[in-house]
Amino acid sequence: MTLLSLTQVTRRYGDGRREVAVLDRVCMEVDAGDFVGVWGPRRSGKTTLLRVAAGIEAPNAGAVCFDGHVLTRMGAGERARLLRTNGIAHVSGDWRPQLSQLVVDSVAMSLLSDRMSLREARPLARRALTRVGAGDCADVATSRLSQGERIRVALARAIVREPRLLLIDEPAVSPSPLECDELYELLRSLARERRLAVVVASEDLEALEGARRIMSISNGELRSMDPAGVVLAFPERRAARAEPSA
Amino acid sequence: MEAVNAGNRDWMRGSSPLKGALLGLVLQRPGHGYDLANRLDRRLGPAWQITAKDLYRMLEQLERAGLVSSRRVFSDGPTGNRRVYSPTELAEPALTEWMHTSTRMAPVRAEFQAKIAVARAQDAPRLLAALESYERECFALFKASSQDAPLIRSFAGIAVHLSRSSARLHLRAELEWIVLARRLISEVAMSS
Repeated sequence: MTLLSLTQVTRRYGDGRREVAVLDRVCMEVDAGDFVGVWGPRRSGKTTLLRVAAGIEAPNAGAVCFDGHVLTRMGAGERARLLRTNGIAHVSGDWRPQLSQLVVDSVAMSLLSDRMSLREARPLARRALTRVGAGDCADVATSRLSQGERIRVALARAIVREPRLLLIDEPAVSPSPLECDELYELLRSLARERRLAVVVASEDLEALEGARRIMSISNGELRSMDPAGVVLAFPERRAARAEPSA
Repeated sequence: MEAVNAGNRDWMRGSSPLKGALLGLVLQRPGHGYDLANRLDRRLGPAWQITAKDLYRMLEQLERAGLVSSRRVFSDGPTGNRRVYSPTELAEPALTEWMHTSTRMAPVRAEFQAKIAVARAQDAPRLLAALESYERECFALFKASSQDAPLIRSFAGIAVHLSRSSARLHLRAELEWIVLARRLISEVAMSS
């Protein structure tokens, strides 16, 4: 079942003198449970693609649909309500907390707009942190987190609302190779969870390992890199490897 | 002279990409061996290490395939008479077909550079199609190498990781080069 679709989406930026189409009539479909990798070099439009897909940024033309709803025709409030719970979560690898607060509270904050109290939200936040392998960071101040831990906390903030689609922009900005390796394994294990579709955009090919489908973006164009009509299946990874606890 | 039909690709088989570039140069302007060697060297750069022996061998093969013809012309220079090579009517379709052929993985950049060196405005779509096919090949290689690997917690893990990283970094460089090539070809095609 198609969860997200982008149809002929164009996003242009201009400075009054000239306009550049960062996305030029882009089409993309993501099914429930899909794992899509988008490769592109710097400034190729990856960030814009994910922001438009998440409904954060409006395209100049084209339609973005999530679960049968046309996001591009909705008002901001209606769109936010639709996407808040079991919707779309957008994560950027360079996420930095605005405030220094306990990590558990930073994650719990994501749930407060659902009329949940902080006391009610904290257990869910701890569970999300454990799920991404950052349970031991829960009672640490966000200002004390390493880069690798920050990415995991950003992921916990995203999945705490139980999204059906997770969009991850450049997951590993600067962690060590060891942290990267474990982080990418975490992404693959999240993608294996039932119902959760994952789209990872990165210039690092390793971040896309395990993706069922690969797309390439450059000069405003998005291309599917799979043989026409064929979705390559990859063998399930060994369950013993760095599986985050549920 | 051996006749070739339009679909005969024998001249491309097992050959250096230089042969295609050489054919392109003869099509642009007939010339003798020394002149063609200089032009090829200027277009592709010294890294190709083009030797006179290779060049004459390729000209001979192109002539045998019926793509170029040669005739002796009088010259009062130190070398006496020279053999001048000109394209036959089969040269143009053969070059067009070569532009369109998918390139082999290992020497692709070299082969693509050779194509660019003698490309004509009308070849842009073929070059872009060849680039896309090469891009797919790179991603297919990436996917083929996406198999289980131990985490980096042992020397075995490090060895696998380093070997894969080397392949990935190489592929990434190729992919970035494809993006650059596509951009430049598109820009030149749009402005011409």
